[in-house]
Amino acid sequence: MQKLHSDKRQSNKLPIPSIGVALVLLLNFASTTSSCTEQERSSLLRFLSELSRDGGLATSWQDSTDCCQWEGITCSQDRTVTDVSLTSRSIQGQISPSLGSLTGLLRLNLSHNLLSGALPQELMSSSSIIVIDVSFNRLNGDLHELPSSTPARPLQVLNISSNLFTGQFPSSIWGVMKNLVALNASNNSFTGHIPSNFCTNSPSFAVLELSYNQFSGSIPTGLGNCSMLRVLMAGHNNLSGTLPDELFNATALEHLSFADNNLQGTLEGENVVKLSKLATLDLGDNNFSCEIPHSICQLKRLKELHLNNNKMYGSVPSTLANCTSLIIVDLKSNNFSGDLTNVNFSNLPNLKTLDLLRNNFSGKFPESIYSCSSLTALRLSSNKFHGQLSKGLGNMKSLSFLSLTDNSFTNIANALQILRSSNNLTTLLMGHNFLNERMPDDDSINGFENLQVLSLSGCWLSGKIPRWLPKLSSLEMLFLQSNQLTGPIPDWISSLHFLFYLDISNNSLMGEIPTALVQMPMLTSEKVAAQWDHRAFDLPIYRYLSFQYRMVSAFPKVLNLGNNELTGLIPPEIGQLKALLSLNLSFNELSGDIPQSICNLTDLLLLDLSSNKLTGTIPSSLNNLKFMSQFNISYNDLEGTVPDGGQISTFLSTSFDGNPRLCGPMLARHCGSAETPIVSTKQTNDKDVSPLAFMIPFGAFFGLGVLYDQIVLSRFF
Amino acid sequence: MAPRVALLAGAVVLLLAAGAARASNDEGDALYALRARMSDPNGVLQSWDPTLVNPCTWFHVTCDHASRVVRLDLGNSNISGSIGPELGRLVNLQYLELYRNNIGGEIPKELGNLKNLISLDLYANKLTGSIPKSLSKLKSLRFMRLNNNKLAGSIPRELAKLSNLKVIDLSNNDLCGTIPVEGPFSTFPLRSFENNSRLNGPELQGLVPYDFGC
Repeated sequence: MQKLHSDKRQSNKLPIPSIGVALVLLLNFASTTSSCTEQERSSLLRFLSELSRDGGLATSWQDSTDCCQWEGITCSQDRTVTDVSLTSRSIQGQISPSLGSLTGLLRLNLSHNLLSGALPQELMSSSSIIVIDVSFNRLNGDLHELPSSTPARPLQVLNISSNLFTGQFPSSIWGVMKNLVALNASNNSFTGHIPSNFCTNSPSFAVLELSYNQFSGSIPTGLGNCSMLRVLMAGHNNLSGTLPDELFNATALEHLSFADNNLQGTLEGENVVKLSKLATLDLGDNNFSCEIPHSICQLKRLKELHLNNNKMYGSVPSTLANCTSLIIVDLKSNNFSGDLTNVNFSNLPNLKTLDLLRNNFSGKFPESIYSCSSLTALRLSSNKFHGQLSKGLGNMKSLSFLSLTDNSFTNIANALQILRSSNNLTTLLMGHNFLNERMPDDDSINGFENLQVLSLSGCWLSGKIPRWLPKLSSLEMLFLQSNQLTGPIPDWISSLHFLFYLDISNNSLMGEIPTALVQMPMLTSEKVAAQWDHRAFDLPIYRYLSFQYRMVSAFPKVLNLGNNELTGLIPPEIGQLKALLSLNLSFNELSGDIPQSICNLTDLLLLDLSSNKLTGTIPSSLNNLKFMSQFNISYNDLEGTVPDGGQISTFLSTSFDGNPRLCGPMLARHCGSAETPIVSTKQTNDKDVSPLAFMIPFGAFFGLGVLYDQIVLSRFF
Repeated sequence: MAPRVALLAGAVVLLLAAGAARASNDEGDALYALRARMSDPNGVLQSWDPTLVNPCTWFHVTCDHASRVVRLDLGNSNISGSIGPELGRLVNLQYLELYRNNIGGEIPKELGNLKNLISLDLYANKLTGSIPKSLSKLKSLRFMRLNNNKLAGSIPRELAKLSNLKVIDLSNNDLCGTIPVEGPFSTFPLRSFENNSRLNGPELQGLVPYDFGC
């Protein structure tokens, strides 16, 4: 098209002699205007030559063709190269500084490749480039300051995110940029302070993304001068100090995040209200110590409020109900208190997530929450709530994740009857409530067809494993540990086709391990990891204080029957449970041998058979369990030699103690020709030694063992 | 009866106590750097999610009750690549099980920082270079199995300082020089060093320089 245009101009300009001469001149003109300049061509070819893998560019970037036709190159009407765009081509090698010689280059996009080496200074100091995007590569080294003599540069957008940059982040360079609009340096390893001069000469500076680096020092007050700053993300760094008052002069802010730093001090209401356009406020994972300012909900556009994991206190102000745009409220792991009755949650029609985990809230279940028709995830765990649940909870049709764990709620039968009409419920965690009540065995507990995760652990419920459980056809994870359930393990356990996590430990279950258990469909399945449920939880689940699970597939496949009164043998069919990662049968009355077939559980991470009445030898095939990181067969009546030379040799004597007829190199009793084991007085005290002090007798045994070797075994010279 | 085995799973209840101190996820970052170095056709590192607060829920990573990494069990996993210096940041690590893989490159000297290490199992890989002297700092080490690699150079005499070392296996490598005889080395059988064609046998003190033949 451009050719035609120039022809038109040409034909207007030329006095028209014969057609032949015109044609010749046309062709002549065509050959001089159809290619970019020699300098541009050689700069681009220079860039190509510094790539170790060019992603097929060489076939397109032929010296003989017009460089404006080359793949990834765009030229302007006057044939100057304006755009170089080569994303996601698996390009490797270095970025040549020659790209800085393209005098008309406006936009350079090399993102999502495998480029390494430094970012050439020439690009930053180019007098033409306005957009540089080299994000998602393997670039390293520093980002250098420009020489002080550099005149004003036109750069508007710089994206160097997700690389391997290190070193002190430059500061004076930003004073040279007069049109800087957006800077993204996130996900690198920059150190030093955040510069304060981004807007000094760039009044239109709007986006600053520095998260996931190692910036330290305090938040620069100069950022308050940025009257157009919309986005300020500096989470996941090492920033310290307080929130400077000046910061809140940046009244255009819409997204503000300093999550996961070392900030402290307070969040002042009179400051916060200045940010009238604020939609996201994330100050989580810091050391803020203050109350939620009452005036915070003058911010009518506030959609996300993250104050989690701080040292904040006081009650939630009733004014929270004025933040009618709220979608996510995360207050977990603070010291908030009060009973929430003063907050009218029904005023928050868009509220999807409310996380109050680990605070000091008290009182009854805040009933205004029932009107939150959009609420998908609600967590009240680890507070001091009490009382019974009421009917309104069953009307929350959007509710998918409900966690009430570790409170003082009562009347479990009532709770289950109410919740079964909440059709979209997929995760229900109610453990550590309903203390000492009776497990409802009521056949009328229907519903829960979509329930995937159910926890009623730690309630000390009496009764039996309930008959309504097999109706939970979608059930994947079942936590019933630490109750007082009696009776046998039911046969219907294998009818739950998706159940992969079963913890019924610490109860009073009796009888034998039923055949059904070793036929559980999900555990006998040979499916590969890609076919498991990759659904993410609505809220990450926490165990043991800080173990965090975001996805269903993050939980291992577990069978925990420990601490019960089970008798009989470990069925040899247990080897069919090929998907099993954790098998705990400890503290029961199981007898017989350790089945050889356990070696078929090749992915096993944990095997605990301790404190039973098991006899026989340890199958040497257990050494093949290469991923086994926890192994315990202590306190049985096993005999023979502890298999040597494989994974089993990475466990200390505590894994084998309490088997007087067992022998092995790491035990007190060594196998070998000398029948009498070398017994020290410490051996009999071993049972009373706390786990933390096992090192002392162990060291003594080993010393004696070495002495034994020295005396008995032959030496090499 | 209270369960005696501390640590994870088992009979521990789903109890959440108040306010755990937040620490930066340095150990997770170090492990994730290891993952970036590795090629993992069997997907054993698939659960290694760097967005989690710590690596303690990652499969094949074991933490203690204070959420510090104490075991890494990746034996026989078909992984290749190199180990890299980052593992040296796991200062609470007790068991490093990387045996029977296709791991190449050198043993990083940073592993000498693992002052709590009890077991170093790197056997049956393709490791090259020499045994770093810094491994003599591993005061708690009981098991050092580096056999069946392509390690070269001499056996650092400094390893004789490892007074807790009970089992060593350096067989089937390309080591040279002499075998130290001091400290724990006086107890190790010769087969711990066999199949190193340039290894000259136990050091005859005072008669021959210890790295003779290297």
